[in-house]
Amino acid sequence: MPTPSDPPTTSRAERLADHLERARAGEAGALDVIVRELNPLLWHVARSQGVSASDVSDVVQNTWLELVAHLDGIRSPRALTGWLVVTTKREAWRTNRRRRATDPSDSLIDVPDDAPELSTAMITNDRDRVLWHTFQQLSQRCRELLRIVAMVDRPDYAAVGEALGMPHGSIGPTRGRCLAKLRALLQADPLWEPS
Amino acid sequence: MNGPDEREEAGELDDLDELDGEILDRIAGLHDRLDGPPDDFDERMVFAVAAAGLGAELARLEEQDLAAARTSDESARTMSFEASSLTILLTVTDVADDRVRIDGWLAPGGAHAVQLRSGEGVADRGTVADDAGRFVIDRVRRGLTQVVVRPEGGPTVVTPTFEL
Repeated sequence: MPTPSDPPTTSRAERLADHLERARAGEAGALDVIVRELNPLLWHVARSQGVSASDVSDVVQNTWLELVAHLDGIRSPRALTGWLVVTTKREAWRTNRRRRATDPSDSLIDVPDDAPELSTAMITNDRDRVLWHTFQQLSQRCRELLRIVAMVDRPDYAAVGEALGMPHGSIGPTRGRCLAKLRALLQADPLWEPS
Repeated sequence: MNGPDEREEAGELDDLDELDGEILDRIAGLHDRLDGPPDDFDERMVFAVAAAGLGAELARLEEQDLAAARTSDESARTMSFEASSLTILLTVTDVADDRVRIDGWLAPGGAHAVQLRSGEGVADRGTVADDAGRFVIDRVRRGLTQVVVRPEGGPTVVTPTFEL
């Protein structure tokens, strides 16, 4: 039974749908709720594309300002999430390209750095530590995908999969492959799975 | 973090089991802790969209030249922002430790209303460009700023926020 601290996902989707409708009708402030709900996801999308922490604000606010301009064409919360993810990726590429053009010495900019900036000594939980170490062994593509998928609500997987450029219906198997690889590596690790 | 209801729903969609759920939750939690958004991230984004009415056009930052001009006492930088209907050029010149002068040029020119929004309780500044699209706003306090242009008969144009 749902508790107040653990609301069913439908209430979140309904809340987003409601505010989307009100924002499209021009209600001031309705967009704020949407911004606060989906902002963390967009942060992680931008970071997974190699945008430096100091440039993320520029990338994500361009995304939100583009949304204001195109709000009329977005009808559902799932379409909204997918649209925001794909727009953030495009804004991230744009910013990375501009950075390379203005500062050619900064050749590392196109290496997506989702490696931790803070010390992994902050990870105190054993299972977390094993997971983090194992996660870094995955391909860049898998790390990017899993980082973003982990941030979205489960019902939004399909929309986000499309936004990430995967053919319709393939989010399961593709996500499955990355997740299956990670599972296999973890289950072979005695620190994760004490025998 | 995810209740049984949510797991069931995920199962229907993607055949996720408990372990998949745990792994994804841990991935999310680790990234939030090790590389999550700063505390003021939401406020910055909310501030950026607050002045952008429905249908407002984004003027994207295209160029920024820090070393544009430098004299003995003054340093200046130029910035250009592009929207499909308007180009905004700004030259920002230091006039005091905490103040700058902004010389702006809008193209196509016209007597467009220009608003300079500031965060953190600093009063907004405004002016109207001359017929050629030029405007000056002097003694602007440094900090987070956003330019909003309301051309006569055209859509509102907003820049992203930027630091002066």
